[in-house]
Amino acid sequence: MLPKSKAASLRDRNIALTKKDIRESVTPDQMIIQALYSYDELTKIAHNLAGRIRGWFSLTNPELEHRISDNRAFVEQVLEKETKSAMGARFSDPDMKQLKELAKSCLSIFQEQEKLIIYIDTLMKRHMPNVFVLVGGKLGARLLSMAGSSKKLARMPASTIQLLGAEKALFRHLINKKVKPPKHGVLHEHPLVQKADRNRRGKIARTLADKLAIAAKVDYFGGKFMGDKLLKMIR
Amino acid sequence: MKQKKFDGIFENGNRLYTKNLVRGSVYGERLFKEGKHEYREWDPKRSKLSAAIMKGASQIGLREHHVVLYLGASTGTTPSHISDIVGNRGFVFALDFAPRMVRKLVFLCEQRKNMAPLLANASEPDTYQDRITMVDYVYQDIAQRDQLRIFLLNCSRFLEKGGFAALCVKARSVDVARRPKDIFLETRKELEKHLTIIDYRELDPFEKDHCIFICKKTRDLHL
Repeated sequence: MLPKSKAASLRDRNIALTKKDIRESVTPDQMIIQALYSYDELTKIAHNLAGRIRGWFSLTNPELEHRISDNRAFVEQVLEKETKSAMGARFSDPDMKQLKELAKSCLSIFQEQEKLIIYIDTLMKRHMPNVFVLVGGKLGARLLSMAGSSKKLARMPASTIQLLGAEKALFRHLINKKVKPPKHGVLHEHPLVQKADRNRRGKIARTLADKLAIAAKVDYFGGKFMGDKLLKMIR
Repeated sequence: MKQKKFDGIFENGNRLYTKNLVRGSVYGERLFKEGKHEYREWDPKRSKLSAAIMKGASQIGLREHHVVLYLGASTGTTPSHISDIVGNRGFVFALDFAPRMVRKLVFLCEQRKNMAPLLANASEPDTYQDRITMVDYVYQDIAQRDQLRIFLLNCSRFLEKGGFAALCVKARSVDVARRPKDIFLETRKELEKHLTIIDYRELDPFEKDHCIFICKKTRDLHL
């Protein structure tokens, strides 16, 4: 049991201190991670919305819808001039106007994504320059988000970085040793890994992860820029 | 509404309840009114302490007026029920180290006069020792590999002699590849060296691969 006055003062003091702690716990890491998640969210939304616009637009011009497979190019085309079609029904002006409103929203999502990428790149260049040089802004941010923070990423062994994003496959392997271990997680997005032959991907992912582990440490502990050297070593 | 044999815990049909200290629902749980009192449903699927009681724990050691140190408070689901149980003359220090969780905890503590939030790492007692007092009860539910070490550390530092403590063990966060039973057994052996175990429950089917130990501090800990 605590005396009433002691309890009240402990509570007031801890609420005040904790509010301050929470306020001060916000880091650039979180800005990058939130931006990346927003980007991912917009990817999903744009995909769904473009699909809906395709469904609607193909009532008036199925040929055009069929011809353009890229979502962004398609949406831009919808916003362009009127088009003719043999199979499509003629839309009244209000019909077309409503559809174009939707296409405008979709286009603005694509544009928002571009802005987010620029924003992420800027932040990554400033806070994690070495990682940025090795894997670029988006992939670097993705590794950061999977590690949780730049502190955690800096403390990760290269082997863990190599497999970030391959947790499911890794645990499948750990529980049943007959299953082969995964070669890479999100690092498969990296052009060097993608270009490589299948049987060399693991080796390249490992080398890349090694250098990333160094880069993350240099970035976190504020060392000199050495990303270019690391990049040369990989090549 | 029937009083269970534990302080502040009630039963109606198959459901557990605690008497609500502050009007209203905390996290969307159902409310039950009887006379002028309001009771909050205590779902064993959302709270391991509730699950332990449902699984027939003979004792949980938690009494009215207790001062509690709650490690791994998260957004305050279980802490709010503990706050109900210890009542206005008890107190709960609710600690978590994720700012996102503690944010919600702060709002909860602003509603309840017997709770205080702490944003700290349970494995570093030095960082919060000047913010709390000695306690009658330690409750720990954190998914860390060295959860046992953290538990003993805190019991040794902050738990009064004769006080009780509850440890939730999540086998999956100790070692994913080993059998949960082995991990529970190993934990028990280590725990017994320092504390007296008075109850043990596996929480299946409410929580998979979890168990809870209710302990009493009968002597000083030598870590």
